[in-house]
Amino acid sequence: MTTGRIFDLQRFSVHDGPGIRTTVFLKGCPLRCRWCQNPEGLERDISLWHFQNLCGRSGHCETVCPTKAITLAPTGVEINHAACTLCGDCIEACPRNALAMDGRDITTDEVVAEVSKDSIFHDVSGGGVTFSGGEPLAQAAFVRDTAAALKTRGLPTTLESSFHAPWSSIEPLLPLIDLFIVDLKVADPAAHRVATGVSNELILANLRRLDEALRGTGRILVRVPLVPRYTATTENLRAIAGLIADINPLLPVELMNFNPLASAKYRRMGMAHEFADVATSYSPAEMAQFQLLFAERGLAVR
Amino acid sequence: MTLVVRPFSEQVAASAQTQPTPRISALKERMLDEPRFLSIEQALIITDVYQAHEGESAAVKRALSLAEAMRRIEIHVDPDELIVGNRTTGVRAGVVFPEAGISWIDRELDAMSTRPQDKFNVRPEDAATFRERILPYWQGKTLEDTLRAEDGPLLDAITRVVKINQKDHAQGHICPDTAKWIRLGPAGIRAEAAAQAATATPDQREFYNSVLIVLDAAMDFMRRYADLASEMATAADSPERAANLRETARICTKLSLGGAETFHEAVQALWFLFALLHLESNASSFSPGRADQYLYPYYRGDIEAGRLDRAGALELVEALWLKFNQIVYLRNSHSASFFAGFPIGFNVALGGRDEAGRDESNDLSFLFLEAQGHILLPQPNLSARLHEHTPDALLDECTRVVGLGSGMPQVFNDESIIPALEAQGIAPADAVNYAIVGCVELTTHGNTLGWSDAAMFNLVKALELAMNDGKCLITGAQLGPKTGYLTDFAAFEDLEKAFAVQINYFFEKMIDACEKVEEIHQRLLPSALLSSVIDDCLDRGMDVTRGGAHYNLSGIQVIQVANVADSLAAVKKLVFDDGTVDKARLVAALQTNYQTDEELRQILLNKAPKYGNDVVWVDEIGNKWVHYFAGLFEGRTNYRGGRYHTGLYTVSAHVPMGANVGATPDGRQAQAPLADGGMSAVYGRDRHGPTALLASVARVDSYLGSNGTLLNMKFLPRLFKSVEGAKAFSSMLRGFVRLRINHVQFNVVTREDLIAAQKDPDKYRNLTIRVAGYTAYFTELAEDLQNEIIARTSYEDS
Repeated sequence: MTTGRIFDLQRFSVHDGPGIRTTVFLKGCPLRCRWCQNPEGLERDISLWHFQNLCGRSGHCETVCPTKAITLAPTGVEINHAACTLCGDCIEACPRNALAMDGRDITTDEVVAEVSKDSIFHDVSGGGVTFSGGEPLAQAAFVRDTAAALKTRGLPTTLESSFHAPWSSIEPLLPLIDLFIVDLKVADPAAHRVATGVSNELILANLRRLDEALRGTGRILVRVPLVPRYTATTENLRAIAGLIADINPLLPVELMNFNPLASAKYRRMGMAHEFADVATSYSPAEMAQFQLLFAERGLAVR
Repeated sequence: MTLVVRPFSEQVAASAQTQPTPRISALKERMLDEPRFLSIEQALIITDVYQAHEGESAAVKRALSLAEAMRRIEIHVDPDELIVGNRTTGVRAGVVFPEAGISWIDRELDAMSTRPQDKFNVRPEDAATFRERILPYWQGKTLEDTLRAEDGPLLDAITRVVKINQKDHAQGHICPDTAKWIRLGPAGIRAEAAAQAATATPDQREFYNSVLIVLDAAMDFMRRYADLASEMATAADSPERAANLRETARICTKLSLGGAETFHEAVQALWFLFALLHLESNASSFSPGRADQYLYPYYRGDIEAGRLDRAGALELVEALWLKFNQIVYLRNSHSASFFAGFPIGFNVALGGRDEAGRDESNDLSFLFLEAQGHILLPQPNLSARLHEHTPDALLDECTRVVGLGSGMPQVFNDESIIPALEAQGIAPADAVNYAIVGCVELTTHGNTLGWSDAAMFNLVKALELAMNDGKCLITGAQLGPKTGYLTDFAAFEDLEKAFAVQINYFFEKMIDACEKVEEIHQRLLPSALLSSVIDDCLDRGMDVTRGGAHYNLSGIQVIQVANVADSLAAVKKLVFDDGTVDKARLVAALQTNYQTDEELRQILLNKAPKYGNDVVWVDEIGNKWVHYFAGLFEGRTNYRGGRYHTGLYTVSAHVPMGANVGATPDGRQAQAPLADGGMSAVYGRDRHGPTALLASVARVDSYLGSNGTLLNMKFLPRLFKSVEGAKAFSSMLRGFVRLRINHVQFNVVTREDLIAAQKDPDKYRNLTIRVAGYTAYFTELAEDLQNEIIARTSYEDS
């Protein structure tokens, strides 16, 4: 039995592949995209979190903590993460569920059991299961075993990934994953490193190999996140369109509009976020302009 | 439903995006601009007739007074109307019907224009006339007063646990044989009744006589509209209006003599029937039922003959939709709090399948949805019947219209409802032809008196008594038998036993009360016109209130699955299984409404699983007690000799019924509302998305809801704005059909709802929103994030 680490398991997901899906968000990511929407998925390690808006200041957490890692301060509950052993006593003791771990370990069988609860909805919608994250390929063995178990039950699977992973972790998934969603962010390798912490060479090589392996099957979707300053520039998008057209002009492309909502999440988690000043998504007119850059290269884009 | 418990004005505001024809738009605006008045015109006519015919039976007096109203009541035609007729000259008047109840009007008259719910203006001269001429005659003679005099103590003894309905108004909640009325008209049905009267026994003669009286007058009523329209045509200010009025006159004349032949005539005939049924009885919910089925031959005939095009048909449907918004029903203020916002219940069903499973939707089904998308008013209560083979196109059109936010269509499931009705002894051909009356109540078409709103049984209150030795937590009064306190119980099963004893005690009294109410209805409110359009009343020569209908059901509502399941689950887990909550601490907290132990309330809220989250053992607790309650009806028949069955809906009654219940172990504070709907989870306690909620709901056996069930779900408008989102919603409806859940309705929430959610997060905890690569609960998001979503939602909605 394989165990994986997730930060969420979402029923009724409707934007991560066809139909109604159950999305498994795997915890831990080798990239550090400056715009990351799910910062709780970055670290592989599990942390204890406190939700100020739910806190009733009972002080039970401080009382029960065996390592004195929690302090009820005038401004809120302070957690000394270095001292926290993740025993969970404080979570149990909190009457308002204001404390929680930001992830949990789960077995393949447990994922299958959870997914099966919505089998009727998967069935009627042509939906299934999506592995997302974080970076699902960072837990490739878990994804492989879970996808295999789902496959034997006839459930369609989708993988949504940066594809920054060794090909050896991707290849075993070829017969197990029905739809590969590949994120392409920045065309220039150096700029990619600035934006995400890694170069894009491995990602592009993987896309090329994936396309060779699956050409003509319609099992690949390229997604481009639109991020002010980093990805949503005419120059970058034109270059990405060129890269895709060069690999295979028949690859479908989907542009993901910028989502300004993550900045509040960063604030709540006490993390800096450089997009705090951007409050809006791109307008339909701007989106059309961006799409045109791909259409000009003969790509099917939406 | 939409049991959208929102003020009319708000719903009107939501309709800004409609695009009906200029004629329909103008008629709609004029209608909405009219103030709402109390009307005593018909009450004066009824009083005159009763005074002039003191010696006659109730049936004859009722028939004569209805006939007199049809001939004398002032009528009005708007020169632009395509469909005419109402029971008052103004729209949405509160009509006083003295036979049913008068004392409550006297008590409430002066506050009628200021009461919190369902206000009516009262002209001072009307108030004076009411008290001088109407009140003195009727005091002591009405349904309300008779019931109070004969059975007041019984009703009072159970009122905190059982709400008995239909105590001061007629029953309604019925789906007449509209197809027959359209085909034959009052003249044709009169001929049938006259033939039957010729061979009637002396017992039956009075019934047939009263039927003939009212049908004769119905023909006159239509002729009066023909005369008025003709007269107006000669003075019309434009050729178009003159032509329209002449056409109205032609149709009304024709319908006064016989049946309809064209779509326009059929729609007008339909509306005349419903206006007249409301003229006969001040009641809620005379429902047209499956109008897309019985109107279709007329529509198709016109289209094929080239007499009508689709746009013309749509305008006629919209004209009818407007008429459905012109009659409201005057309730006492208590009743208005249970059924807030005028749920008059012109319930129109569309779609559905036949016995072989074949889809029966047609062009009219689509036209009905299109009209709803244009009109976006509270009526008709549009209900889509879905099944395994509902076409994608119809499903997607339902999704589109739901996304517009009027809460309609609500959705019913043929695959669970048809078997549920058959289990109640309904013949397969009738079960498959089911319709909906009122809000969500299930009925056959044209041959059932379902008495579907007989009573509401508050299981949550019975559970309160079971934990507190039969004493009311709010008043301290001994309401039920002394079954001990929670602290006396060694095991969870002891609590269950006490709960059963409390239920049994009030159940018996409820049955007594239901029979008394029905008996007095029979005595005082025979209804000849209604009987003429409910099979088999004419064949049997028996009024519908006496049991003349083919099926005679009584529906009792079981209130409320979610609170019962959550309360018992919390007690079982935390008190008896885990032992983390002390019995004495819990009893003390319940008795003091958690005032000194908020922490315990939080533990109960957060440390025990809740109904609505796909937790099998919790959901099964709810199912178990509905089963228990429904089982008590076995071997019993109602006053008309038919069956009792159960429903799971509250309309807006979760608020007043909650006001009767003290603090509960699900963390609910004293007198706070119960869970809404009937099948819904407690506000915000379902935390795992729509599919988990549906899975929980599906665990309550659908045949226990043969009288009707109600599930509310809320979605953000954004879901409907993307192709994938709309598709997912349609797929979810398919899943709902597969799960064999009887009913669901949707609130598509707006920016205003989000702001309300921010102010009162506890109530909206299940509101989900797409944040980034995941969906989150809106109220769990930080305030700044919520503000951003609110700002963005309004941007997206504009």
